[in-house]
Amino acid sequence: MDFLVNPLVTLLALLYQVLGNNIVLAIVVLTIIIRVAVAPLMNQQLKSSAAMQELQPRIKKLQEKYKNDREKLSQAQMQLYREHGINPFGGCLPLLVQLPILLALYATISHALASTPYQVVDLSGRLLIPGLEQLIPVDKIWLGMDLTQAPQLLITSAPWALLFPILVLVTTWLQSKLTIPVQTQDPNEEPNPAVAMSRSMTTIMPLMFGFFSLSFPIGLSIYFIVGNLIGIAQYTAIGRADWKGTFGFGPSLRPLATPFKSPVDDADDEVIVGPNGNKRNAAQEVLKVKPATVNAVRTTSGGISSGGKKKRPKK
Amino acid sequence: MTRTFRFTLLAVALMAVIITGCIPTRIGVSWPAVAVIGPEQQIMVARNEFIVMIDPSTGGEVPLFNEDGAPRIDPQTNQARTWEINTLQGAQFFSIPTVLDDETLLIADYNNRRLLRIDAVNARVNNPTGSPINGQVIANLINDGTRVFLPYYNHDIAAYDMETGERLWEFKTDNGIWSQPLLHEGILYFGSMDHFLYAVNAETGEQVWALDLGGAIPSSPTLYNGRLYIGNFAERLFEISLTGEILNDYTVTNWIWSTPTIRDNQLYTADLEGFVYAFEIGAEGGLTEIWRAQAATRGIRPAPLLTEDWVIVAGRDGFLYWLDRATGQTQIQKQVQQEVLSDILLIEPSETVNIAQPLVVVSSTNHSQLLVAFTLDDGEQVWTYSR
Repeated sequence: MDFLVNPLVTLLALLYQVLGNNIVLAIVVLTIIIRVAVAPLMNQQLKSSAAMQELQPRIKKLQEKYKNDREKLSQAQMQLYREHGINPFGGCLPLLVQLPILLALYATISHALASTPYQVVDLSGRLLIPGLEQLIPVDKIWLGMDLTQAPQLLITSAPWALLFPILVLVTTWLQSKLTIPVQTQDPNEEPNPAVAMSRSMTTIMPLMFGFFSLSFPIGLSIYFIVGNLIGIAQYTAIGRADWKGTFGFGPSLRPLATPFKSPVDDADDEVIVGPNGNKRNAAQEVLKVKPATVNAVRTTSGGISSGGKKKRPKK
Repeated sequence: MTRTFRFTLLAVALMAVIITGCIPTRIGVSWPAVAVIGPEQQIMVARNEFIVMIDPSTGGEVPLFNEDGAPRIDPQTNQARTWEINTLQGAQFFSIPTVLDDETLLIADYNNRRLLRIDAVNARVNNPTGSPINGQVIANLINDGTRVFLPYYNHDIAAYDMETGERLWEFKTDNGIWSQPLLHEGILYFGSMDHFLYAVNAETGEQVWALDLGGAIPSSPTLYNGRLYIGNFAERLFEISLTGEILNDYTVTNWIWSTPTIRDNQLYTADLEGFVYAFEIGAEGGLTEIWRAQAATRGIRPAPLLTEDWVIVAGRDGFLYWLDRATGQTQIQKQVQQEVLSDILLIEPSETVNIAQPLVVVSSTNHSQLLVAFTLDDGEQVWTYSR
């Protein structure tokens, strides 16, 4: 990861120099720069996951329809994705690209805040521009707190340091509350693990981050807080933060630019009678699945029969 | 266990691994502090919660004996006692004690900010509650017979009365002092991470002079022929007069953390890119480069060890290198299990302690090779001390 971390450490040192040897400002500005740089990837990921979410009812219907035929189900799903121009992995790829960058940013701040001999010796060779070594070690005192220390160690000397884990907790909670989509659960249905997990993650994640922040250097807490606030701002800007649904005021989730109106919804229960009298499932018609690849048809009773052979209508 | 709970647990565990995995591993504030103590050349190691004394001839912990010569038995474990202190609640040690007298050592407890008096004969702490001090200490302590000088890790240096523990003076610096001050004719010379080299009156704590060297100074100065030699993070090696004037300076490749070592009018130092430098010191001062060689693939932190034929350096790459003093060519290299950041020790031959040939002892950051001894002449490994 050095190929990512070292340029970022250098950039942070440059910002530190430019911003009057203020490491907090440097961390804030660097976090903003990186978040803005990865914003297109994040937007793509958000759009993709939002689109996937909006297609869920249709996916669910397809799953019910083809519950005994996985192959046909996946074909129908892919067809649905194609129809709406969605790459089912479109949400993962930007995340995979972003993750190392954000982890590198995290490591960068840890390295730049080097204060112990171990950390400082590890910082050598990371500054890629000559002259920046004169800035080492950075001025780590801010508001009477040593930014390299964990809040739990500053309880007596700077008790206000405990505000930082609380701010981490609150901003993490706010971000997850506003941005993790609320998934509803039909009380008559079997408990859905995904729904329960998303609910518990909204609670557990902030607690976990807040708890970790008690023992992490305050400088890293600043990074967490700024990162969360930027994330909330980004989500709000693209209309994917549900302020109204969460607090009853402010902007609500913006509908996607191209609302999905899939004929599959309207068509999947309909039976089309062809001009020559043969009956076809409307969804198949819509999905334009090649007959040779379709091996399940709706029976007259509305169930699914699978058998690998398509019943050919008599001419 | 429900499926939901398992999913949640898995997600939390994954997140915890990612978050904690991003934090550089912290195995302590600093590396093991090591030193050779007394005429028997016993090796003292201070690291985190323990201080231990090692017999240089065997690599084992020094056994303790009763007055009648019988091995001392620990009543709690019923085992033979060795020279070890590791039972102080919350204590952490990263520096070597200063010797007060034949029977007493004085050490700084980093974590609890206190001075402890150690009964060197019985390996016990005489004052377990300690005397409070104003800061944490990672540099080795030094005393002048009446005062002990404590360089603080975060900032400042203080003098305490050795007998009473009373604080005599405190001198302010803007950043930490990470190396042992040099005491010469009543003046303390020390570098600070605030970029200054200071000269301070040891009796009064008043500043004699301060010199901005443009980069952090984590190591001690070396005194030779009335001049000070020191390197810093500005990638420079300085020759400085005792009155605080820069006489000469030389550019190197990377940060210097090594204290320069001098023998036969030749100065050797190393940097954190693995380069070793040899200079000839002129009769009127001034340094002429003899050679420079990249010995290690990673940085070299400890001061080079000089013998008649060798310059021995240890790198963060986990290797110990024997360089030819005349040419800088690597003649022998030996690997230990982890990076070597502590000072390199030389154990002289001694009939009284049964050491037949000189040994080079290094400390790695891996506790399975906390100390490793090699013969000086051919680099053959003699013993290993692990915990």
